[in-house]
Amino acid sequence: MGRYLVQRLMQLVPVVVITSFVVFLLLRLVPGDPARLLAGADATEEQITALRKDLGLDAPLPVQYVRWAGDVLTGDLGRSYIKRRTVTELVGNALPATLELTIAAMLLAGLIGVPFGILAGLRPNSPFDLALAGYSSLALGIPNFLLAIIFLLVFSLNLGWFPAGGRIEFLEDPFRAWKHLVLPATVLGITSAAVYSRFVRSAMVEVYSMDYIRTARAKGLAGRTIVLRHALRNALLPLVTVLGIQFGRLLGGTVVVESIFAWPGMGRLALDAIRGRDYVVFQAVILLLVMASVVINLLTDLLYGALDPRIRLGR
Amino acid sequence: MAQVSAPTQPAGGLVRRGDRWSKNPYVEALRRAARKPLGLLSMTVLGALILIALAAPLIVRASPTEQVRGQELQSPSVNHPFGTDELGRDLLARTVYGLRISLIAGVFAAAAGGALGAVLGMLAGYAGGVVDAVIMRVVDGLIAFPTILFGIALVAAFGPGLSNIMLAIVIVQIPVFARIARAVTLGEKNKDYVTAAQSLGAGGGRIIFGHILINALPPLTVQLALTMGFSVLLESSLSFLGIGIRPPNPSLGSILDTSRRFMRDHNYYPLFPGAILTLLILGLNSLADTLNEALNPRSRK
Repeated sequence: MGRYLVQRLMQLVPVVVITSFVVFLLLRLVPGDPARLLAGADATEEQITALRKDLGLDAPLPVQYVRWAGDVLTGDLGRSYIKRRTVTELVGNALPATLELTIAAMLLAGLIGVPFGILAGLRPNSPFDLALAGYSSLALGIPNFLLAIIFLLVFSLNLGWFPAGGRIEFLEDPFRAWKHLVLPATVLGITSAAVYSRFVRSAMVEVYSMDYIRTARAKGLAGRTIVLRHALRNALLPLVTVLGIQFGRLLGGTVVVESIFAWPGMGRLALDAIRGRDYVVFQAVILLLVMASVVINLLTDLLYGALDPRIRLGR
Repeated sequence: MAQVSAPTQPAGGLVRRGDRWSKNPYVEALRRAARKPLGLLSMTVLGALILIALAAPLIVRASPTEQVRGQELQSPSVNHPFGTDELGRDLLARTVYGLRISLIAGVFAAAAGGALGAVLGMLAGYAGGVVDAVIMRVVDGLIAFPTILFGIALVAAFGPGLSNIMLAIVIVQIPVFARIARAVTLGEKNKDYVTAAQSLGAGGGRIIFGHILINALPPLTVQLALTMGFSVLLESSLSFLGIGIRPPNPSLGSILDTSRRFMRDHNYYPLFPGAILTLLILGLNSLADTLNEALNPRSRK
């Protein structure tokens, strides 16, 4: 395991360098001069030149990148010129909200997707299986912002069951916090639930056609034992990888969902930053979200290796 | 949405001899799909949507951008089957022209990104060595970005507008196609027929485009269909967030964004544009499933 870990970490180095360089370049691609933009309309040429020097924009690109990467590595993500606060502070406020939303969405997706997938996989082509296939096609076809609009229209505007947006701290008022969480988490989780159920279903079908299941049947084991002790173990293993991929997707999805439900998280921070041309904040948020999904992918691979000895020994 | 399709095998094996219509695996794929009710339904819907988008000026006489005073927020009627928006514009016209944008973004940008990615992947796989290392490290880096987030970041950098959105879609799609094409190329390049072509004096370009590409096409086609649905989603999401298609040009995403302000009292507003967008993505997704089933012998059971 130790050697595998080192190997995986080494593979991560170019990925981190390239992704961070891409994020860094994005800011430089923006048409116009950030210094001129920040200085305001009535700044003199001297002021702009001074600001450019102050921001380090007069140095060659590779030098700028190394400086920026150095700052990031020492925990300095820069300052928002619009909100007049450090990015670390802004992210510190937004991150718990996004984590709360994504974790709730993942739990919901798992609770719906996995058991439904198992049931459908046990009886392929049954009415339940077909219904689930219909549901998952629909869930994968509806854009999440449209689903959000439908939910808002039905459950908030017409039925009044849930608030239309905003977030309440759980420690403050758990019940109201929960009510605010339901709609955004459901919208975000429903697509993942479809992905999980499809995946678990086909894994179950595949495992059930294997010899060792037939052996277990021939031995006269109870159906429940076969499912729980024999089939599930192998069927659910690859799900770990899917979970990792879905987490990255959820992080991307938060941008849309948070903006609709006025959820004060990272996605909304990024979007506000784009709209306000607050590029330092935007750059930092994108970098953090990308790094988060890189780390999650690494963790799922390691977890997979730990759960399935064949993967670990194979490399 | 699953972005990476399962690695597939060349489609050569599924051609049934003696049946002259099934010589072409792609024709066969569509034929097989049309035999299932759901496949037939989704292909009909997709075909109808494409036809509507192509014939847009013939179908709707109203202009998608013309504002009519006194006609604001009208419920659906004979004159305005989808109703009108807050500026008195015909929502049917806006939806149909928005569908055009969706299809342009989905089909053309996805295809361009796919072609570019495929060429890069085959080049990396065939050349090996430094070329492979450089291309694939960049691809590894780009694939680490959550796709929607990457699209948003790119459009934020390039600025809004259709051509910039399409550019973003192209870039976002390159890594997946490059990986698939490279994997196929690695599997094919040491086979006898490639060695034979090499010994006959065929150059790298000829081997890649004349011999390896044909084997890479089935998995790339499946991925392309998946990608089209995703590209439509990406364009509409960007427009919904207000960083996509610029007003007054219609996009299904931006129509739905605006509808939020009025839907409390005008429930019809998001209904039709939303339904059309969903039908389009559903159609493209089921096309991908169909092709996957037909072109990937392993997934057919």
